[in-house]
Amino acid sequence: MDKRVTIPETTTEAIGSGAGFLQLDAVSKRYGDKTVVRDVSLAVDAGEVLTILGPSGCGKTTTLKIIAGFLAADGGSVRIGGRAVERLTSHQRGAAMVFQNYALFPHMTVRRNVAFGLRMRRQPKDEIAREVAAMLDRVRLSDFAERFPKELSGGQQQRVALARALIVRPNILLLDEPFSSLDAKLRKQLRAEFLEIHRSFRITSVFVTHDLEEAFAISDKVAVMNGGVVEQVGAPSAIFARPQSRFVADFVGHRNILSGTAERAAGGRRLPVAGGPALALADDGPVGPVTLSIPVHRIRIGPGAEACDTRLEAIVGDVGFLGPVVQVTLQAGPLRLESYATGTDATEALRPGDRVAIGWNAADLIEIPGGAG
Amino acid sequence: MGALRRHRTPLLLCLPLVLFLVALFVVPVGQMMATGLYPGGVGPSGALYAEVAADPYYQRIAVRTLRIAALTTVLSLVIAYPVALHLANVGPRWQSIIVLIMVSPLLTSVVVRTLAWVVLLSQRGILNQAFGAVGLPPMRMIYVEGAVIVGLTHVFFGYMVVSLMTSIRRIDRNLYVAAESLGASRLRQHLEITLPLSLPGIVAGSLLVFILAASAYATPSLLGGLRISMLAVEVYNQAITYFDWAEAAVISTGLFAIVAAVAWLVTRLAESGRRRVLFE
Repeated sequence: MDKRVTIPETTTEAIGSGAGFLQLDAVSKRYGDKTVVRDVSLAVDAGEVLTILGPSGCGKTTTLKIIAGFLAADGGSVRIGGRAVERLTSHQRGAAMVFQNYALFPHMTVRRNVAFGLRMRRQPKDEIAREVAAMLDRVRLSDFAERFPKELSGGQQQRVALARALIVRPNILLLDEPFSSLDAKLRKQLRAEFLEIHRSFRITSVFVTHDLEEAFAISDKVAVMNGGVVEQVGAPSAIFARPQSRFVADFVGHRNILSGTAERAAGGRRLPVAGGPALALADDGPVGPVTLSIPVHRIRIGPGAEACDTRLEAIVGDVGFLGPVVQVTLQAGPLRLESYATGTDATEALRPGDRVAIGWNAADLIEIPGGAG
Repeated sequence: MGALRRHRTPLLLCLPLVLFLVALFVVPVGQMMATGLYPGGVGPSGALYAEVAADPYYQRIAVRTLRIAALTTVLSLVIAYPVALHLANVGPRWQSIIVLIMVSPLLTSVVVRTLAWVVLLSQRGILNQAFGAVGLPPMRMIYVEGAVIVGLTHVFFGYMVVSLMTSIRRIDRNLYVAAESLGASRLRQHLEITLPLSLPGIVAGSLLVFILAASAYATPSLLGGLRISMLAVEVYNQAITYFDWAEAAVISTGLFAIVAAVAWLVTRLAESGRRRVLFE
């Protein structure tokens, strides 16, 4: 009965934009003595797409359910358009959900599925018919209005799910891994369709996924979650370029993560590698323990390495041909590195066991703050 | 070769059952139907079939049989639906406990259970004694159609619950969440989702209860007596009391035809609906 929300005296500062249409402030959720969501604070501007990205069990779906109103948080606050919504049902919040399997009503035609929300509001029949027809037209489903969900392709089903959610003019649209059960090609196609529909409706959206590429492709902002905590929020490019923790770096695709103690050296800093050479670091950083990433796409192999300020000799391990790029593992002394090289005659000619010159520029190295933790 | 074997093996495995059915169902039923064509040992003639079909007494009993079976089905459905709905929503442990309690009456003999109703409902039964104790006149509660319907519902309602529960449990829970977030109240959710999607269970359960009720013998003969006779009771009387095997065979065939016609009709309707909705 008592669903009062307790707001801790010291709330963690909201990360990201302050002018959030959707705001989560120190939201927590416990199951028994297990905290699945801890002090999550997020802000999403009106019309933005925020993706909560994380491995399974990181609390991303729980967070989504709390926003949707399907779950009550144990602490913290959720505001939509400046209004506290903890006591409101998902319907009263104006939250529309698109489920992983779309949860279309299997016994209703596309038209009736889309009309559902309006029928529940008891709008006049002719008004419903008009609005549904207009919506079907907008999502290019007019020709499929009398079909049943089972008779539609995955892409069409997604459009029905979006149309059904959007017709009630929701405040926020929530999507729970809607592409996860599909093959890669279809996934890309649906992603494009979602973006197209989102551009047309501009509904503030929260998207949950464990797929990095998906998160980066559709989001204005990505929140990386791990163990119930938001580790970092930011634009996809910012998250990739400046990961704030080792977990984030690893999760967003940094493969060559090294830890060590940076020291001052003639003309700058360097990082000694046990049993190997000392790597040059950018001048403007701290000395002491550091964690850094050598981005996979910044490693030059062969002739390209000559212009780099850090050059090493390496033995080629595996060579994976991926079409436009070639994935090469390299053993440079004690360092095992992974690199993605643009497919050229030179890189494609690499064979396991080849001795090659490799190199990168110190300025391209990414230092990860708090990476030691 | 391999493919052929694969296709043939299941057929071969079905053979014992097919032989069993032919020997113990098709042949006897066919023989029974034929018996009706030889009234008094002469024939074949359809005279007896025509005579029974035109007899107002049998017509009345046939209509009553249909009515009682239909009302039993409806009553079972109305009582069983909330139970099945609740069962589908409780945890697996409670579910097995409740199902066990519900199925336990099926472990006792129909006759024993029906006799309990006789004790309860008869002229000097427990209920009428209770009425008498508070100064009410005794009520006629046995040997009326209502008694037969109540007795049959008691016997068969478990089948309905199990059949409904199975189809309700197959409904994706997310459908309710989706409906709720689109503004559907609990009642609307049940009307818009549970009811239409449990239709296969409603059809299966209703068909089962209808067939069982229409051909019931023990319950109508104990609770309906001679006044509320049903077709199966008539068959017994003709064959065992009057030794008129031909007439018993004709009535049996009639009962068989009525039940088969209803089952066929309902299945056809359900199938066409199913194809439209494309359930798996």
